[in-house]
Amino acid sequence: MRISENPVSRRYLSTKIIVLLALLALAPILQGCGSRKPFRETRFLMGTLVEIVAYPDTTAVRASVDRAFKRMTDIAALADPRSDTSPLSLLREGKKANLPENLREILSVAIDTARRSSGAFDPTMGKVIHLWGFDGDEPGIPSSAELKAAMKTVGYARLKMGSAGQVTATGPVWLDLGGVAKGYAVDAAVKVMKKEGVESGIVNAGGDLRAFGKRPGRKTWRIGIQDPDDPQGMAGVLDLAAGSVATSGDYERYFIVDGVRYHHILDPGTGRPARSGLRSTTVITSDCVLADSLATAAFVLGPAKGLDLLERTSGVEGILIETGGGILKTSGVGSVVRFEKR
Amino acid sequence: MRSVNRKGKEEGVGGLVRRPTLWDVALFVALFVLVFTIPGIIRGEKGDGTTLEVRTQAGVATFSLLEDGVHTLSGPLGEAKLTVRGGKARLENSPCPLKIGEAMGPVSKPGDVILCIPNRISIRVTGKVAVDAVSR
Repeated sequence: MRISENPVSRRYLSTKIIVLLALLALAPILQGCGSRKPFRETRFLMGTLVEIVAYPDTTAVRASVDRAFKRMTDIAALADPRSDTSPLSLLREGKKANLPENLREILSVAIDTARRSSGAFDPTMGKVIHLWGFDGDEPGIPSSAELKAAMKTVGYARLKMGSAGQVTATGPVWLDLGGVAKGYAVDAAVKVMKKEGVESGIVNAGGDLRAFGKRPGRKTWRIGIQDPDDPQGMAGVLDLAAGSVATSGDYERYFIVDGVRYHHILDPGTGRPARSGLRSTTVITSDCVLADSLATAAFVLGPAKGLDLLERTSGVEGILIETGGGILKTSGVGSVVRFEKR
Repeated sequence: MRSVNRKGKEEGVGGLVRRPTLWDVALFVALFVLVFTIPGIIRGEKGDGTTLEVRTQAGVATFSLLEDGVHTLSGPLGEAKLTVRGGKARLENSPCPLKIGEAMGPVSKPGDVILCIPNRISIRVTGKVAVDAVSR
């Protein structure tokens, strides 16, 4: 007997088809609920490429991402070491400067990291960085005499912060807040989006990044750590519930003369690129501003002292890649933060 | 309500519940596949690892990694060449002094990136990647 001649089978088949057609119609909605497509926006900012990924992709989230970028742009303008209109320029002339709240907070973290690292990180390296040309487009090796003169302007201990935002210095000081301002701007962008109700996302400013909220579709955010020897490779992957990751490496900005690599992470003790035995340092903590400055400090300090600094700092974990390729980790990597070597 | 078929076996409510045949299983599998693939096709999901997303000051452009060619990219420092050959892309003749973008190539896998910050050029192979972000 054919199906069409059997009323029971016909009814059975037609019901099944209706159910499946309904499923087909609902599929896009069901898929949308499961995958939670993010919104991505990328812009050149603060001397790097900044990407914001935010969930879910809605009109409100897009508007919030735009405001987060605007906040970062404002901070970048304030902290620009080359700007003549920034209050930081007054310190170059040895004058007092009244800093707005943002700059005070950035400088405060910078000085704190300088103290913690006994000057391995120093925000007063502006003139030396400028001399090497790492703040511009044409770096080169300065003469010893030029370097010696520029080093006279270095020393975070010469800065005095007053209670009302007034900063004074003993003599001219060239501040370069590049090692902290990027992280601060990342934190500020996240703050904007969280306040406006964005559920989750990542703000990534050239590798200094902060993840917030729960990653849709997964328990954790997966963050790759750049392989210093392979521009397209990863040394490992971190599983992060939320928080910040910042990496400092000698491959980010450099030039080579006579086979010698001159990179942008300068040692405040010598005024020259740090030769500490490390290729990169990655710091994991809650605030990106702290991760940013500690990564630079640990790089300059080298394997033993750098690891010690990170171990001593509460709520901080780190991964250090040595010149020979060895990987050093703080005690919490593996328990507090999962790290999978590649 | 219960019903009984010709062989005397119980079929369940209104005859809707019965032992599935091979046809039932095949139909279900076919429709299951359709349900979870058609929406993706309709939406035109991007990123199969064969497309380059290129960002310059002029905006965003896409190029195929499958077609060999040389593309001129303009930035504030001048023109650079994006060369695609054999499924790999690299930046060449960059006017920026450090040439770090040239050293970052070639790229071929989803997520691979070439960045020339001074000349404001970024090149990314689109497609699904295993990580949410890379700390560089």
